[in-house]
Amino acid sequence: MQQRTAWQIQKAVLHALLIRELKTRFGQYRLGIVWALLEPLMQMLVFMGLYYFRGISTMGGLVLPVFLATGLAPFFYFKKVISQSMAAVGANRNLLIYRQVRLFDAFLSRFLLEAVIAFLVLVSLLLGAWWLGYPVVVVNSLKFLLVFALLSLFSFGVSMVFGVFNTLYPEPGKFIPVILRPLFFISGAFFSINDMPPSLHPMLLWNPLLHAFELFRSCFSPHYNISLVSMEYLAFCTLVAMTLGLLMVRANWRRMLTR
Amino acid sequence: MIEFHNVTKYFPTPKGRHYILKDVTLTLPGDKNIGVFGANGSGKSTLMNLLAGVDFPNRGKISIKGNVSWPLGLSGYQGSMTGRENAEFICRIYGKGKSEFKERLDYIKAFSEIGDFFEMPLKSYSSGMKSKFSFAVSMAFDFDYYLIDELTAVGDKRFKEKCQQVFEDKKNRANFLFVSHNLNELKRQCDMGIFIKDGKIHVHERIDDAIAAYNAM
Repeated sequence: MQQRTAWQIQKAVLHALLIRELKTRFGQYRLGIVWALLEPLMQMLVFMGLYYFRGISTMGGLVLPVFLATGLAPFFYFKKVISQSMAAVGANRNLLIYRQVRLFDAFLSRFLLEAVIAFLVLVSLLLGAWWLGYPVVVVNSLKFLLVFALLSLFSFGVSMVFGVFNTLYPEPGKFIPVILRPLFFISGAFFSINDMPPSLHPMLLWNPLLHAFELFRSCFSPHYNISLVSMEYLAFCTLVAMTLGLLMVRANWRRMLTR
Repeated sequence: MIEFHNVTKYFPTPKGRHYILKDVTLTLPGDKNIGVFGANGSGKSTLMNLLAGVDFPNRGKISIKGNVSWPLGLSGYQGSMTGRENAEFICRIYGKGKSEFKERLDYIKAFSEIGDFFEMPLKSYSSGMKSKFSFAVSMAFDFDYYLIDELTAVGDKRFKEKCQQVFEDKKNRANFLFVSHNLNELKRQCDMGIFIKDGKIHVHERIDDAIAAYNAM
């Protein structure tokens, strides 16, 4: 058996795990990715209905489907990365008897799959809105990719923190989803920070997710007001989250093996 | 050659540390097949995991020259995936190219004699089929050390003979570490024995001595 480089092994393991994740996730369902589309789509329809009855058809210069898609789909992405990561070690436990499959690979492969799915979902929703005749204008596609990358890495970092915690302490780990639930209502997934009373701004603006969603929206309208949010803040939070997440994995992966 | 340098391994329990290995320093020769003895819970499987690099000593270092298999047993497979998908997964993580890929899969399918069940989820296998499948997968890859953890030859006489034949073929190129409760098989396959007891590894140069020590326990 010839010696492989670390990079070759890493690539081979990731490839194998990704295919395995794909098979176990979508193997038994023919509709596959359609299921991933359904959750944000249903939520979008619910909020479109609510706004429709209040007589609102645009938010900050964006038509409702675009406004909602850029908040709801990324929010579900964030939540999904975390829930997938919290179950990552348990689901891959019996593959850890191969020495080249490390715990980090379990987190990384699940995250990569979610990132690809989320990107496809977001683009499909926007394309769908455009196909239905809504005006969808991409003002800054590079910025869109940058925000998506930052949001992804932020989610990945946070998910590793929770994933490690949940693996080591499964009992308090059960509270993580409960704690995360209110996030939906304070992250700007279905509202804009610009429409909130200024007294709430200082509190709401701590949340990096809100920055990400608002920045997404600004990619689809040249006039979208982003004076309150900042790319730098999102990038800073991403850096902190990734550092913490990687440190958590690095410091605890051997302990997690024996659990 | 397998070298243990001051290896200590314990598991924390509510009543203090349960030691598997306590400051063990020894060298196992690289050209012998080794039987691993010990009572239930004495740490045979932990030893296999340590050698396979999927568990780590609390102190000390284990160094092995050569490629070591994963602990070959009945675990490490995904019940919801088919035999083929499981075999493919292992081919992939061992970096097998397209041509080798097919060759291994064909080997596994033919050797395991499970026929069309190769395309069925593993959870639908009977225990006999699962053993045959695991055995075939384990023998489909080349290692310098095979760590065999209760992966005994099952099935009818002919299948057992086939397994024996593979062992004999591989013995020229590789070494085996056997964990088994079947003393006859250990006696047949191994040159020497190691006996784990109370945090120590006792090395017996002859397999018969190891069996005697085990029986005297």
